[in-house]
Amino acid sequence: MRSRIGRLLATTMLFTALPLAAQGASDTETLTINAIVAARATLTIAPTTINFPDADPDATPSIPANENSVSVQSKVRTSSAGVSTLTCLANGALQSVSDAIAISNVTWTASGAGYVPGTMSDVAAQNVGSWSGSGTRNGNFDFSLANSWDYNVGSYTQTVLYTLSAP
Amino acid sequence: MMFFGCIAAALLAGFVLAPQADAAVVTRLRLFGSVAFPDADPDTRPQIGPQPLVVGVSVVGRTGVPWTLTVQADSDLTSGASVIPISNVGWAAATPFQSGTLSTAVPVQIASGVSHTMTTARLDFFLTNSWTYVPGLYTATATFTLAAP
Repeated sequence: MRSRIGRLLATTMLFTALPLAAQGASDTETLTINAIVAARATLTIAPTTINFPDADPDATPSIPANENSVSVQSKVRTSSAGVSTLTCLANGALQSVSDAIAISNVTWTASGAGYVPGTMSDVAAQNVGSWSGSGTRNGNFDFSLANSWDYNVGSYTQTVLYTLSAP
Repeated sequence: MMFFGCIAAALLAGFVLAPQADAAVVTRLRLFGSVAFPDADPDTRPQIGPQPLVVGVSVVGRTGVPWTLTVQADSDLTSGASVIPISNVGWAAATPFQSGTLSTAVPVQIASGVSHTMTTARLDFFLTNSWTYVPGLYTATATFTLAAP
């Protein structure tokens, strides 16, 4: 009887003592991470002033801008299927104190994915580029002024508004 | 009577000892704070943050037991079908805790030591910003594990 009690007690002690030798310890916690990404667009053109020098219309029928090539960078965050567009609209003709040169005489060529060549207008915004989805798009513009013997002597100026839109 | 008394005593001793057996090394991990990255212009803020998270680590009981604190992301940051790789989320920590980058593939070690240890550390989380991200409200979870094998 004493032996039986001893075995049972030993067995019980063994079962209760097993965790002492077998178990490690660990603890876990879950962290939730949130991030907000909003639609946005940033346009960078450099330089922002270009100049067409005087030239003989016979020798130079198309006058390149002194600043060519003008760099452009369009940065957009939009949906995967969202189409962003870059347009330009002149605020009027090239204007001197008393004379004007139609802004349609200013044209540009373009390089860089999504950028397109065109002719300036002060009536309707002209497409300059378009892209799908988010990203940064780099390009270059080369501006030219169609030369003419019809132009009156003067110093002409005008501004052009470029607009980058993302849905 | 003496037999059952001995059994009862042994079982009682076992129940009492069992928690102590687990308590040979008792680990306790707590996170204080949350990580929520606001929207920001990637040009002016190429990294969004810091978003501080305080981590409390307690490893007590038997002395000299090594422990490790790791973290593993459960997924990338997702918003519908849009994804920001979780590897764009990292944290900075002061020694002896380690700075690192989240991963879904492997647990990344944040700290290690030997019991007894009772300490807290601040982890400053950052999100690498990018123009390529698609607008949305992104979320992900990461599991912190404090283990003393």
